[in-house]
Amino acid sequence: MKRPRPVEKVAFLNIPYDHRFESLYLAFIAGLCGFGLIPRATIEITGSRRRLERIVNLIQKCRYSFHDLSRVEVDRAPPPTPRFNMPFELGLAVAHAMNTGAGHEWFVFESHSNRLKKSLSDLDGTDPYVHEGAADGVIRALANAMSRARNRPQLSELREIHRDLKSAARKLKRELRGGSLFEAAPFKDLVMLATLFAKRRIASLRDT
Amino acid sequence: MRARTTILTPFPTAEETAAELGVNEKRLAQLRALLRTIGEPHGKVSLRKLAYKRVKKK
Repeated sequence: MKRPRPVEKVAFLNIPYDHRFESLYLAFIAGLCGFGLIPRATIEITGSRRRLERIVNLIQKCRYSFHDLSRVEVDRAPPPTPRFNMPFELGLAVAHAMNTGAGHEWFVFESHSNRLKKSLSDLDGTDPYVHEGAADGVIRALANAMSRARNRPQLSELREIHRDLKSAARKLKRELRGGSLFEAAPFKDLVMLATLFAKRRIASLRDT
Repeated sequence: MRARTTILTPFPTAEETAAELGVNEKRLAQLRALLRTIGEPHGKVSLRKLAYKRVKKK
C-alpha cells in the first residue's frame, strides 16, 4: 500500500462519537482550527468496505493526531463492551509515528491524569493533556500542547471561536431537524465554520 | 512536561479547507451566510457595549 504524503496543516481527530461528548467535540474542532489546523476524522469515512485501510490512509495523510481517551469505558448498551476504537486508532498513529520519525506527532488527552496509567500502561512515560471533561479544559489543554510561530491565538480568542461554534452548532442542528452532529456532513460544516470564525476572532488574522 | 509543538505553516484559507474536506462552493457560501448571523466582530461588540455603559452612567 502506497503511503500518502502527510499534509502539514491536517490533523487526525480521534474522539468518541456520542452525544455526551458533543461539547468537547466542538471544543476540539474550535481549538484545532484556532491553531490553523484542518481536523479530519473517521466520521468522514462512510460504509464498512475497506474501512481499516481508509483509516490508516487518513492517519498517514495527517501531520498531527489528537486522541481523546477519556471515554474509554464500558458501554452500558447490551452487550456491555469496552470501546476499543480510540485506543486502537491511537496505536495506529503511534506505529505510523515510529515508522516516519518526525513525520507525525501525536497527542493524548484524558479527563484525569491517573486514568491513562491504569487504562493503557504501555504509554507509561507519556503525559496526557488533561481536560477534566470540560470544553474549556480542552481549549486549555490544546493551548498547552501547541503554539504557533506566527498568528498565535490567545486563549480568549480560542474561547471566542468555541463560543461562536456552539451558536453555529445550534443552528446546524435545527437545519438537521434532530440529526446528529457526529456525521460526515455536519463535521465538515463545523470545521469550515471554525476556520471562518478563527479568521474573524484572531486579531492578527483580521487584517490579513 | 512536554515542550509545546510549534505550528509553522500559515493559517489555511477557507478555500483551502473546503478543498481538503471536499466542501463545494455552494455549501461554503451557505456557511458564510450562517456565519454572518452569529456574533459580531470583536471590535463592534466592545464599542456597542461601551456606548451602552456610557449612556447608562449618565
